[in-house]
Amino acid sequence: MVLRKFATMSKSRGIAPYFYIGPVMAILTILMIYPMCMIIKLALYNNYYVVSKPVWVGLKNFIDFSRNEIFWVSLKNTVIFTVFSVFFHMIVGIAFAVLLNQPLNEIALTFFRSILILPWIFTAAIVAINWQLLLDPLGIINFILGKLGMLTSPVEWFGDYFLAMPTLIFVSIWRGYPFVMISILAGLQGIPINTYEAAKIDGADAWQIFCYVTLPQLKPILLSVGLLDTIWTFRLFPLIWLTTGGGPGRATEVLSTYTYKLAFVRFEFSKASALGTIILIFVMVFTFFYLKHQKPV
Amino acid sequence: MNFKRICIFILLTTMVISLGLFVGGQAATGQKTTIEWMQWYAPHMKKGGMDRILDSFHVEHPEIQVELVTIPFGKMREQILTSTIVGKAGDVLGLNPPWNAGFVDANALEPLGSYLSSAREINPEDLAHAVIQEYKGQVWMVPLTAFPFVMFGNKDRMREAGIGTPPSTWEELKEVALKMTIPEKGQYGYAIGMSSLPPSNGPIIDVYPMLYTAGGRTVKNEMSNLDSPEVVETLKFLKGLNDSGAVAPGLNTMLQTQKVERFSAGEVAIILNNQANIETVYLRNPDLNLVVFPVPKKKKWAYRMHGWMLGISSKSKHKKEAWTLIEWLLTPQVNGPFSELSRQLPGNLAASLDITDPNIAICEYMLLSHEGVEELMLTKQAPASWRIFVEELQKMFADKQDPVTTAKNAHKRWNELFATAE
Repeated sequence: MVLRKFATMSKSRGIAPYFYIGPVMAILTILMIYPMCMIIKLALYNNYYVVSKPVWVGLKNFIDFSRNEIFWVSLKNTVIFTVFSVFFHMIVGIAFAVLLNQPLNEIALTFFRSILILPWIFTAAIVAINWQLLLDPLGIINFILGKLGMLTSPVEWFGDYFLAMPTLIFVSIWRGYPFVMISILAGLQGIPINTYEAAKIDGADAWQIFCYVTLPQLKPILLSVGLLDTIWTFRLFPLIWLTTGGGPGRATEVLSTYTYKLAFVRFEFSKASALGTIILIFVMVFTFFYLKHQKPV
Repeated sequence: MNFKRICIFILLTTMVISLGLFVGGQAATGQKTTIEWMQWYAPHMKKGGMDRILDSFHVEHPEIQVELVTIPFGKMREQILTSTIVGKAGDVLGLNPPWNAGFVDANALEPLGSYLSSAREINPEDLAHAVIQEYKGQVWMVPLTAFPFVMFGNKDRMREAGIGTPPSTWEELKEVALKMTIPEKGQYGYAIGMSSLPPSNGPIIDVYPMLYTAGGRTVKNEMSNLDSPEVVETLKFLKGLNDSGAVAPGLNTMLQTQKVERFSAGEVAIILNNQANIETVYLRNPDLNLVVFPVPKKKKWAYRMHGWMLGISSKSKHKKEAWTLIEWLLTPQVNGPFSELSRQLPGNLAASLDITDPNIAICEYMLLSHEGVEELMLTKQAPASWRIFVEELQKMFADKQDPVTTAKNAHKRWNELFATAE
C-alpha cells in the first residue's frame, strides 16, 4: 500500500524532492534523532558504559527523581533562573530597542548599537571569567562600592547563598538581552510611521503610544522571542557551570548542571540520561507552543 | 584487442603498485609503533623539559613513536572517561591518585600487576609506597613522581611581620596568619579555596593535610570517618581561622589555582598546596621570596602524599609498547632527571636527585621522615565525595552550620554515597 502510494507520488512529482531533503534528513538523524534515542535508551538501564552488564530497570530512574531532594532544588532553581532571566531580557531588550529606534545621529546610533550588542558576541567562558573578576570579593566592583561608602566589608557575590542566584540572573540578563533587543528593534522599524502620527493627532502621550500602538504591533515578535528565550535559558549550561558550578552548596544548581555532575562526577550515565530526558520533555512543551504560535493562520 | 590489452596492463600495474604500497606500509608500521600519551604534565615542567625526555626515549627506543597529547588538568578525568567510552583513549594515561577506584570501576584501566612482576628495568619495591595501592587485588597506576602537600610561605611578608621561623603548630599558624593580615592593603595571612567550580577539590587540599597532622582519617573500613573527633577538631580550627579574619575573603568561590595566583601576587602570605606548584610560583613571580615548610602539626608530622601517576588504557592496542614507555620513565636514570625537570621528587625512590633548591630539599626531607598518607586511591566515588564535603564546608564557612553539624552531615551523605557506589 505504502509502496504503491510512493510509486504514485513518484510518478506524479518524481523522486527528486526526496534527494533534496535526503542529506538534511541524514544529518538530522545522525546528529539529533540517534543521540536522542540513545539518551532515552540509556535512561531505562541501571547504568551504562561504566558497567559490564547494564540491567534494564524501566522507569526506575525517573521515579527515583521524584524522591530526590537535589532534583527538586535544581528544578526550582531552573524555574526561578528562567523566569527572571527571560522577564528581564524582555524588559531590558525592549527598553534598549525603543531607545535605539529614536531619530538620532546615524554615527551615534551605530556606535550605541555596536556597544549594546557586545554582550551577545562574547562566549560564555569570556562572560563568566569577566564577571568572576569584576565581582570577586577583592575585585573592582566591591572596591568601587567600598570607596562610595556602600560596603563595609567585601561581598561574595557568587559565594553567598542569598546573593549567588540574583547575581547569576544579573549576568544572564547582561548576556541575553541583546537578542531580544535586536529582534524588537527589527519589529519597531517595521511599524508604519503613520500609526504613530495618527495616535499623536488623537492626543495620545508617549506612554499611551507605547502601550496602545507599539506593544500590540510587537506582540507576535514578543511571543516568538519570549518562547525561544525560554527554551534557551531553561537548558542553559555553560554560563552557570563556568560562573558558579552550581554553588555555593546547591544555591545555583539547575537541571543542566546537575545532569553534568551525575554523568561526569559520579559516572551515573543512566540517571544523567533520565534527567536529560526530563529536560527534553520540558523543552518539547515550550517548542510545541512556539511552533503552534508560528503556524500561519 | 588493443583496448583489452591496455585494460589488462592498467589492472596489473594498479595491482603491483597497491601490493608494493601495502607491503611497504606494513614494513614501515612494523618498524615503528605510535603510541599516545595523554597527560597534563608538560606545561608544568621546566621549559622544553618534556621534549628533552621524549627525545631521549626515541633515541633509546626507535621502534616506538610517542605522541604527546596535553590536556588541562581540569578536563583530564572527563577526557579519559569519554575517550574510553568511544574506545579511543590514549595508550599511556597521566593519572591522579583519587581517580583510581572510579576508573577501575569504569573498566578504563589495564591492571599493571603482571607488568610490574615481569619488569626488568625497575624494582617495584623502590616505587613510592603510599601511592602504590591495590584496589580489587591489583595495582592500576604507578607513580612517575611523588610529592607531599606543603605550606608555601612568603618570606618577605613574614619578615615584615617580625616572624623569624615558619609556624610549626596550628596555634602558631593562626597567630602568624593574623599578624600578616592587613585588609586595608588587601593583604591576608592565609587562603582557603572551597569553590564549587570544577574540580571543586578544596577539601582534599585544605582540609585533609591538616587532618592527617591531627592523626585523623576521612575513611575507615571503607566507610566514612568524618564524624571522628579529629575531623571535628580540624574543621573547628579552620572555621576559627576564617572567623579570625586571617583568611582572604571569597573562599566559597576561590579556586585552588586562584589561591596560588594570589599567593604569587603577594596578596596572601601562606597557602597549603602541593609541591608541584613550586614551579608555578617561580614562573608567576620570580621575585617572590618563597619558603616551603611542612604543614603545621596538631599531634604529629604527617602530610598528604600525591604524585603524577601513570597507567595504561584498557582500550589501548599497544599495551606492551605503553608499558615500555612507563617502565623507561620509571628507571632511576630517567626518573631522576624527569623529577628535576618538574621540580618534584621521583616516584622511584632509587633515583638520585641533585637537589640544590632548599624548597625541594624540605619536601624530600618530609617524604623520608614524616608520615605520608594517601586515602583517595581507595575511596569509592572520590571526586563525588569531596564535592559533597565542599557543599557542607561552604555551609560551615557561611555560618549556616557549626563544625560538628558539618562533620555529621558530610558523614551521613558520604555513607549514602558509598552505599550507592556498591
